[in-house]
Amino acid sequence: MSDFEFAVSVPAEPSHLKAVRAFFQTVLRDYFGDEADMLVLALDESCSNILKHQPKQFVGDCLTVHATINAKFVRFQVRNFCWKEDVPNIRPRDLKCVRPGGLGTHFIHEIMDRVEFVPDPESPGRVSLVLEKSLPAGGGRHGG
Amino acid sequence: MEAKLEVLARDENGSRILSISGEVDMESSPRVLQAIREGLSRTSNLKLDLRGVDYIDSSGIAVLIQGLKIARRGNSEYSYVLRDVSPQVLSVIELSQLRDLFEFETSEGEG
Repeated sequence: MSDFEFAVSVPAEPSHLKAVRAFFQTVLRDYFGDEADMLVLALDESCSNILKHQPKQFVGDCLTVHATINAKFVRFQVRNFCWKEDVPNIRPRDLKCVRPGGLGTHFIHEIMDRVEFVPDPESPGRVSLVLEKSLPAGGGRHGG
Repeated sequence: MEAKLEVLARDENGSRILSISGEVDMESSPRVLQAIREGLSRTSNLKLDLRGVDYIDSSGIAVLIQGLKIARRGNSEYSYVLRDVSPQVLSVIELSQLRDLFEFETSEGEG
């Protein structure tokens, strides 16, 4: 099975997150079945984080997600995620303290097998967020 | 392009029921919180009927937590119940490690 590449760009506004979810829910369900729901959640949380914490940079800009799917994994790349110097501040928090904030990063790390930041090729000083999840044994419904 | 969300309120057996349906995300969660605040301004017995919630993210879970905190502050004798929680919502609550924080019930009886 060769790589399949998908890309979605939407205006960087909360009202358009639904479109990103709907697109990838459809695509991922073919490969991951019911597990697609959690993958969509992780992706949605990543996109929400951009809008929550970097609003000024994204006014009038686009939110772009690239996805690669093959027999071994699905990889999302959320482009232009944050400034490189902000990366150390992005980490899951201790859930023993019950408070509304900080859950999104926890979800991302719980759901995905790999979470890392890579330099964004088109935005100097910015990084993209890479999320990766291995496909179940047998490669899902399209692989194996 | 608004996230599809509907919140309907009714009274039932001494409780205020908020029936929430659609997707609770970053864009729509403030509306849910507002409905919860309004509900808790009327009564200390609030039930959130979540059977129609197709999707919830961390912002939606945050709203559920905030609602519980408002209920607790307002009255030492309060009821704040999540009713008929869908599998997706329950999965996200469990991912948050908050299952023990909330009270659940099903419309067929105590859950």
